[in-house]
Amino acid sequence: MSDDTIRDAGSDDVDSADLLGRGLAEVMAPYRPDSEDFTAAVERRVKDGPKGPELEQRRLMRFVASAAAVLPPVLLPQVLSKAGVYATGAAATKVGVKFLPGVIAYPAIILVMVFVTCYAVLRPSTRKVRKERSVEEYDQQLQTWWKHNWWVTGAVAGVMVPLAMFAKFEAIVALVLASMIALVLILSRLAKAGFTSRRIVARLCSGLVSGLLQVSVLAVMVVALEDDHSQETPQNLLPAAWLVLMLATILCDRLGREKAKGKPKPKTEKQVKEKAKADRMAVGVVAVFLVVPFTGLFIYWGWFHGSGLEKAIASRAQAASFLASKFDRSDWDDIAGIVRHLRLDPGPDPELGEAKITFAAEFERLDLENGWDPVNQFFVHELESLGFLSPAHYESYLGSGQDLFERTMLERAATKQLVYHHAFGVSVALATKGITDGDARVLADGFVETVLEDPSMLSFDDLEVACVVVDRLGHGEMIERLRSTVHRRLLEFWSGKPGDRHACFVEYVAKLKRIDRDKSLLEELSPISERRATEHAIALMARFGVPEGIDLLALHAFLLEGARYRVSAGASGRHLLYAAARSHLESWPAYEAARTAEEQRLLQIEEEKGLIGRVFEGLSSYSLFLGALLFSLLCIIVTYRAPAEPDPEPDPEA
Amino acid sequence: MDHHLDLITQRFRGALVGMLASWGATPRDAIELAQDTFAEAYLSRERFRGDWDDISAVGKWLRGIAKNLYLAHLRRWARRAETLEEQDHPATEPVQESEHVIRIRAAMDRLRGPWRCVLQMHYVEGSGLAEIAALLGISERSVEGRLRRARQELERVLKSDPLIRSQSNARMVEEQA
Repeated sequence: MSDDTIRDAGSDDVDSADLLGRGLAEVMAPYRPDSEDFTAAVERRVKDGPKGPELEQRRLMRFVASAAAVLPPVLLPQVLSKAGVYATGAAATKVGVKFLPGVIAYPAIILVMVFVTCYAVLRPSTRKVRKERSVEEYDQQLQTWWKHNWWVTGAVAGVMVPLAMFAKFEAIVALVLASMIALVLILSRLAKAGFTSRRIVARLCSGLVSGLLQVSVLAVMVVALEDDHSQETPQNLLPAAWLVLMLATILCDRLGREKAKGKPKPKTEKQVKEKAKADRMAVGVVAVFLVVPFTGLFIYWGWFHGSGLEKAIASRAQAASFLASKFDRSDWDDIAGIVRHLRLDPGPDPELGEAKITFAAEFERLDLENGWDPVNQFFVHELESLGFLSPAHYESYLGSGQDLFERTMLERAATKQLVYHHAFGVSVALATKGITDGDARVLADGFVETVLEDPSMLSFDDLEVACVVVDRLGHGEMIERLRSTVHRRLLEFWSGKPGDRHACFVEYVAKLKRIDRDKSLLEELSPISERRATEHAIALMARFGVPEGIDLLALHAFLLEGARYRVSAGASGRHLLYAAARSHLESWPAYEAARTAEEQRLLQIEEEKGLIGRVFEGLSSYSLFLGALLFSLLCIIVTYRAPAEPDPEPDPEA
Repeated sequence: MDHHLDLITQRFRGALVGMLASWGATPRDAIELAQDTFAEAYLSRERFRGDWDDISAVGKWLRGIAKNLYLAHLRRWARRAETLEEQDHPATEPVQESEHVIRIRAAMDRLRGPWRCVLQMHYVEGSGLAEIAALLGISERSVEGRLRRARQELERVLKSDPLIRSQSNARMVEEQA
């Protein structure tokens, strides 16, 4: 470009402008290089500049400087720390590039720092971390790191904890794994650059691998604690993954403790003792880090969750044989429930021989002279449903002054106040004096109307009893009036939501406080056990049909889970009740239809996934194992390829 | 020499030296730093993510390298200043300059930094607007505007100085004759 192009168009003194231009060129003349000399100087610099390994070293130095700026100084030799400080100051404009590896690796750094801290606390006080650094310096650097990073550590931990609680299992493992891989790669580059030795790399890698082991164990425990496992992909070969991680921890540790090139074996007694002490300590630390998570897992599975290795599922046949054999622990409610469902499903009637004998023995011990109240009329109803009560028992009941029928039942039928315990009065009357057709109609209508009047005060048990007694009074046609009310109550207490794999009935009923003979007050709402509520709900559905909105497959899954028991402890009445109810449920056409529809849906989903989707899903079920394997291999390779430690200076004390 | 290196050296040499001069480098340092810059650009060419034919990308790349080298140069000098006695500094050779040049230089010192910068970049070797714009990371129109205003301001300053004006008129008369 000539000077004319930038000449001031507004100037009327062209020569003056030329003169100014020449003057400016003259001013800048000292800066004007000779073209050939300049080119030659550049070529010379290029020729003399770094190339080959040196150029590679320069690239590494840049990376190392970035890594050193974000890695805790305690992990690195002092020279690297200085490089990091320098890099931080010199390249402040490249904040993003500099901090990216650190940000990715930060969770793993925290994990490593926790290990380092534990190690620092546990290690013998006389051991030197590095030849040129004293224990005091090491401790000071450790404290300095925590002093400057405690809030970041807290923040990361604060994020990790809710993640561990709420995020998907795969997401947590992937996050931790990615973070650890980033850290290991940084370590690998540091080792290549000669900033760290195989011993330190091995220590960190074994720490990371055992850390992953502990994190995965913890994650499995957290996932197992959650009720809903529907969103998780089941992990196959989990024990194999843990075994790989354990072996990799030991191998990394061994690789790091291989003798350095030319390093003399300990000769003096003092050196031998120190080496043996250090070896014992290292083995102890590794053992602690390996033993602790598995101890936790063992306690969790063995104590809180029952042994996962010893679970069995109770069956209908077991439930039936249980009633015929000797038992002493189960309560009568469970027995009654088992019998109810065994009778409702199409199988053979249960043999109640031993149960009857047990009841007879129990009945003998009752103090009937003081009335039947201590026996509990609810209990009596269950016994009655089992068919265990004989005319002698009813006579005994009448003789104890508990004649509810004659005194109040007709009056209560008129005012719609017939409740659960009046049902037994009907049984007594039917078994002793008999009931006229007119009274039977009034009573049946009274029971039905009482339910319709205020169903919120009645449990599923009450509803079922009402149905049974109306049936017994010979007016089963009246029960149909209860259908919509029963369906509404069932839906009200159904716990399942769309997509739930397990669901049951959770019922609350009014707990009444009796003020006098005829008056009661609502004291509080009291929960009924899931087992009891669900069992009665199934009996009601057998009578009234399954209302729309109840997922029979989720209910079946709940019953299946409830029927699981530890082989060593044996199946109790609770497990057998679940088994009997499940067997009953499986006999329903509605359940069969739901199961077929679900199978069709799953088949359709499988078809829609395609081959790639199915393969991916199959691989994802091995993701933890594959991740553990790859990470272990990475750590072993990085440790193996890290340069051996140089010969130490002769120990002046030796 | 590599084609790209040759090309960028020829295109940016003058403007780059001028830019280093505007940052305060001495003539010798500015030339050496410019040579270092081109050599470093060639040695680190793998890190260059742009297109070698994109003049603005190349200019930005060179400016970054030059800036880092100049900062390192300043740090080196700062450390040397702390350790060396004054008599240890290399003596600078006295340069004989005409009064006209001295006055223009004095007038340049009164200009605003951006205006002085483009003047220095342009008048080392008459570098074009495109190269200056690429190194400064601004548009060619901006460079042109700055140059015009810088010259206007420089003329105004020189005309307001009677000594400079009379000398300029005398020269004009001499040349016309």
